[in-house]
Amino acid sequence: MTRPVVITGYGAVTPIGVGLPDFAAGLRSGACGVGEISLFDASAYRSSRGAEIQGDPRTDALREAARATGIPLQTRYGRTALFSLLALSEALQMAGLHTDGLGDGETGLAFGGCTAGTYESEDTLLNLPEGQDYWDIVPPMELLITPVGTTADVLLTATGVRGPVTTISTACSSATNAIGMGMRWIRSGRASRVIVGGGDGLCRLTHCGFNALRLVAPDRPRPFDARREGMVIGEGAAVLVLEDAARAQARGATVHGQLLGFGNGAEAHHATQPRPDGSGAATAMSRALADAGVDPARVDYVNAHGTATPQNDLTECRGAHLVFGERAATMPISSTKSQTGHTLGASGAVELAAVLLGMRDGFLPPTVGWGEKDPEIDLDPVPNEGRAASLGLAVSNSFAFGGNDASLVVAHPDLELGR
Amino acid sequence: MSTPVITSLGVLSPLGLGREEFVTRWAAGESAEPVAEGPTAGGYCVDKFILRKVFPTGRALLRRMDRLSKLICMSGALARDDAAGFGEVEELALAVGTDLGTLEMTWGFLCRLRDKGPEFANPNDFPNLVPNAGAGYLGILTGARGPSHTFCQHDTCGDDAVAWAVDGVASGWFDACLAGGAEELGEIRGKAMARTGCPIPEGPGGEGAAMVVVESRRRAEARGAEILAVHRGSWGGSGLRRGSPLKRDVDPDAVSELIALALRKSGTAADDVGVVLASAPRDAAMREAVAAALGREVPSTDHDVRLGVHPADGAFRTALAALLLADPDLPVDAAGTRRDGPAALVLSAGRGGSVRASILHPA
Repeated sequence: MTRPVVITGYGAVTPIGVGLPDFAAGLRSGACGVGEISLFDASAYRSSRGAEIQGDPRTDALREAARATGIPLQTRYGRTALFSLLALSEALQMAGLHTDGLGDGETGLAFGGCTAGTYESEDTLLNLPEGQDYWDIVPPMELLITPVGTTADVLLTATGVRGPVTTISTACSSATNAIGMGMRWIRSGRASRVIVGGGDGLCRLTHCGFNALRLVAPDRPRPFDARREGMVIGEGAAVLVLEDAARAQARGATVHGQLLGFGNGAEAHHATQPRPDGSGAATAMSRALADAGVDPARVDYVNAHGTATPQNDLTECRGAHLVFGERAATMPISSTKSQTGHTLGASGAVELAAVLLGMRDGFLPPTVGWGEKDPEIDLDPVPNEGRAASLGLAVSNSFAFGGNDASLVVAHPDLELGR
Repeated sequence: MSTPVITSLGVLSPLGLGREEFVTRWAAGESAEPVAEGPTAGGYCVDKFILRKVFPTGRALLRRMDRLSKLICMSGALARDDAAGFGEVEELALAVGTDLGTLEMTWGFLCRLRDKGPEFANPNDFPNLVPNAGAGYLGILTGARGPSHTFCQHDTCGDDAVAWAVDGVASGWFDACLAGGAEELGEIRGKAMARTGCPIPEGPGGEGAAMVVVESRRRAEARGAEILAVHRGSWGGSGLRRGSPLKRDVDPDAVSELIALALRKSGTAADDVGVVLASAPRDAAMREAVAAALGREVPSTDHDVRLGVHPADGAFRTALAALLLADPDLPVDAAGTRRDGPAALVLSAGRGGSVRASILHPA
């Protein structure tokens, strides 16, 4: 008998809203966080568009959340760490937790990401004065914050967590895999509470790489649309508090969602391209549904990986048809990346937060920028603004380079599955 | 619950490629030859190897592959060709640990961006910069389509990969996993270590890759595989003193408590631990923690001074533990010391404070 896992808190810092109230409003209204990149000069790239978090994300509300939960809002470890600390503060506040209570050895940390302090560490190298040797002038801090595990180090120090800790870096499925890891730790008794999520700041490395691969759109991402040309890189973080349902109940915590299942699989096909028949995507979704023990017919909504690249969206649609059959054609399957940009290693957590907000507030997150149906993509993308709906059971997908596919199954806190 | 066992391994180390060469040189008390000059001087590197000899059908793929991925795939091939191999691969899970990933290639990518501009960025390079590139290539070359993870928590990343494999098999999530870790030692890592004063972890720099096949005892017995060791589980925690997250500052009390937890949960008496394979065997805090938990001096491997250390070498030490348990005559160190109990403790701790303690028993 596995232990049921529930979500007792979550927080998000995204290009369409810093903190859950703004993120929820942005999702519902169809906001789009894409604009000209201001963090660095992007004029020489194929696309100069990105989805940035503008200004200082330390809003009054999040400062108060950090104060209330005992989180120091360190800024010297870079943007990724700051976004993650802010999302952590909001998640802990919602869960009614303070760092004083996290050092019990029963609380773990599983975090996902790709870029950590890369943006900051690029600065000295890319702006090297003529005749200077990089290794003579680079501040050691720039080197130390580059490894992807650094974000978890910062969260670990901030929280005093003493239970299991890990960083998973599987490109765009990093956060989804970290969330799945936390769920499995609770189920197996390794921990009774796990802080999970992902964070990634925008940087030249990822923007340049996706430009070189010609996977970026010149203006905006248009997932599932016939005119789609690619993604736009975004940035952000989201953190969730997972708990053993019995422990959450015992301390009187409010439950915001039931985390029911996790599925993952390797495509064993290509370094960057998905299997054309959609079987990789289908495997991740099917394994997650089997892990959850729920029939695909009960699923109300899929939050797609939905990058807006021609190949991803087509194969994800085919994968959905393999899993849900004819029902996939009319099923709401939308892409939050159309609003937030592709937040890479954070995207799985950001998008799970979007699903939870939809469950809480009774709406389906939309696909914005959609206007022309692709005859090969037969699904309901929830075009352009949130749609009022009662959302009980959802799947959230993340598919990554290296053929790493992962899916989560999450349910409304009041949904009784009768399994 | 299934019992996870180790049945095959692939070791790509500065002290030899493959189980046979490594064991022969280890047993003879040899040490690898350190690099004589340059930014990696004093460190230990792996001899040249030819991946296309073991994956002859993947030539186009191999041409695009970065060196770290080649290390991972080569050690995977060595595990495939060792002892009982993988068995059925379709549902084989994959787990890889690497802290620094393709640091050398990432540096080259950024330098090219700086010197020539974004239009000259090589699209073939970028997919290799993600830490899970090696696991992805290994999946393509072997056909493994089970669950796959890549772990990057500094000095416990290799241990995390093996721990995930063990948990997955024990809980029945999957029946077999190829798990390990890899790190490369190059110019940039050497310079970064010098600039930050932060050897990662402590000890002479090394490189290499090790993969082990972890599977259920039932699966192993059904296919007649030799069982090298039983993996009794791995327990993780944070042993960080609350200071800077960027330093390696492990609290010996926390590490000692974690070892005690691992012993208790694995049903292992402290007296039964006959060998310790620690990430920093000469570190005072680690030695204090081990002595406090085990109550005596236990033989400890000297891999650090014989072939160097790297953040993902928890996987290598797991493979070495399996070899030491499978052959009681295999010495623990260059002095010829033998293990003095039936069980092995693999212990890793490092920057950021993550700690892992794993317990292995003989077959």
